[in-house]
Amino acid sequence: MKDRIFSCNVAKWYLVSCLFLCACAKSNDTIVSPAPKSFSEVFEQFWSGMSQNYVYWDIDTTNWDFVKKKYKIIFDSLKLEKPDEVRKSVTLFRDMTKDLIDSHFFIKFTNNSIRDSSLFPALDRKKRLLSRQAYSFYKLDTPYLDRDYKLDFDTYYRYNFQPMAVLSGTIGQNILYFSTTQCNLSASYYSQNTQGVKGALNYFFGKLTRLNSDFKGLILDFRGNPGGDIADLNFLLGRLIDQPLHFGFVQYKNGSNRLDFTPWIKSEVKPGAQPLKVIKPIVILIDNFSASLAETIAIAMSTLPNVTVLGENTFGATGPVFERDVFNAGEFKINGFLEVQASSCKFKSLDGSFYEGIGFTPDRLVPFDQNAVNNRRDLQLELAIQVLR
Amino acid sequence: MLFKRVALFVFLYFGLGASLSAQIKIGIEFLQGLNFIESRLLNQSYTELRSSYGWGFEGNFFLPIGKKSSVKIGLGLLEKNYEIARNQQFEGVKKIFTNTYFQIPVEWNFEFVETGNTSFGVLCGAYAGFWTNSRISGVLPNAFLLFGDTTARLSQTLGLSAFDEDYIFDENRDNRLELGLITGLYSSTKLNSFFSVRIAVSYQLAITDMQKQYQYDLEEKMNRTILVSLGLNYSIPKTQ
Repeated sequence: MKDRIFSCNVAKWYLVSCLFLCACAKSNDTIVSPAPKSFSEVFEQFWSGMSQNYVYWDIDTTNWDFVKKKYKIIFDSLKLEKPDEVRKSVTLFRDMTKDLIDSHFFIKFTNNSIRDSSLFPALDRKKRLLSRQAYSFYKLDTPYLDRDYKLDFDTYYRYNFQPMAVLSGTIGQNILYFSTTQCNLSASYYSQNTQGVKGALNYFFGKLTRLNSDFKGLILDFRGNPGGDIADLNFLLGRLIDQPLHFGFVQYKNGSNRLDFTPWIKSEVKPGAQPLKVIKPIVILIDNFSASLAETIAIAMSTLPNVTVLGENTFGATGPVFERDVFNAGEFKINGFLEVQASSCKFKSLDGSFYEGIGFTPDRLVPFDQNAVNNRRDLQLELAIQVLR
Repeated sequence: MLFKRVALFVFLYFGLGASLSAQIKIGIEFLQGLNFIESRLLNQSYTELRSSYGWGFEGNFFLPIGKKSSVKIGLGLLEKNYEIARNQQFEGVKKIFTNTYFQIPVEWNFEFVETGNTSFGVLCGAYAGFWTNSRISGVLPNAFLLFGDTTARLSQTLGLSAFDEDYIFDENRDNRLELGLITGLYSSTKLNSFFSVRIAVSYQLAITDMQKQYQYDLEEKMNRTILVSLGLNYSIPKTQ
């Protein structure tokens, strides 16, 4: 595995010069589809866009050809000029996509008649299963920490109208605790515009260097964390390892047909500038709303021998999301009608398990307890402390 | 595996050849191919299909039909390689496919000029091939390998990972049987009454897709191969 940015020139050898016959297909630009003029075109662009860009066709049970058979005729009968028929189409899109396993799959409608609508099938499924919303534990957990804890916010990064909150402190002077409600730590830390969460991060990094000598262990809390910038994988986890950590595999699309895939490529985290071999136990807290990068960090860390994962199953959104052009997969848009966000590639763990749409199961299952929370108690954190003591 | 195939080929070649009583020619050819894929690159931005070279060899029987023509039946292995490469800001990202086919070409050779010991002719025919094995190598952006300035565009900060692996065939996806057409020119020079050297340039056009029709609107991928072959042939004397 080479691991640096480079440009490679293939040594070529010529016995024949038949270049005139070797003109091959070439595409130099970002793919932009023309704005659709009818619902038939909307459907065709959506169906093709999904067929070409969705990365889970080999494991997803949705029969996309059947979707075409069933829905094309319905879309053909709708009129794009009629606002009520445009609104009706949202229900059709919901039906077509309700069982897709990609938990990053999200449709934002950009047509004026349905601009307030969006579809998030994975969250809809989660809502049907759970009776609660994501909970911000930092409000509950500060009483567990020693007085010198640091709690910082970055209002630039918001999720569900809440700013990113980073909490770091010690528990009983001998357990180091760190939580973040989003994974935009690296971007916030290096931002020139705001102090953001730099204070809490510097506090944590300072204590981290003394983890092996001064503390019994570390608690990393990713509950309610919907993920964020993939740079945080190295930014955070890179500080907790002293050699590359191979934690799974990633697979990309290899063309526009549904089963065009590359081989599985190793997923690794590299040690950061100040690598640390953590010999003390680490407990990771996750819950049903730990998603995307937050659960990827938990999966990656669970491969370390001194890590225990506690809490609930994660959300199950493990495929990274990138700008479409990077991997020629994932997101796409229908001009003037909708934008699709989706995973750009597939992830599987070291043992070959897929967590997409299912979630990663912790070592010790500790369900969220609303009654305990009402009584200002965090049973998951209490068990984490118990594990380290 | 390759050795066994070669041994089988030599057995068929000489065993069968010796048993025939008509004057036929047998020979062996070394092939160099330049292959490219015909495909529309739907949905692939900053991407191009590039041709790649490949090697091959073939054992041949030439069965004379009249004075000026013959039917050539071959049996051999041929690489049909290609590359999918990214360009512009993604330059350096590429996937190289090394595909080996076991092929049986059947060609009609017609000699139209003869000067001294050398003759020139045209060939046309068809082939059936079986995609025996495949390797995929290259360099890809690694989703979990980021470098440098995190505020820069992701495409500029993603690291690259090289890979080189056997391609795993998928019975739902891969159509391993290939049929195609052949056309070309050849020249044959007699060295003595038994041996002759043959040089040919031909074009092989696959008429079957490399993939099965497993979905609506499948984007086709078809092999297009330019072949240069250099062969040594032996004329088996007629038995009375």
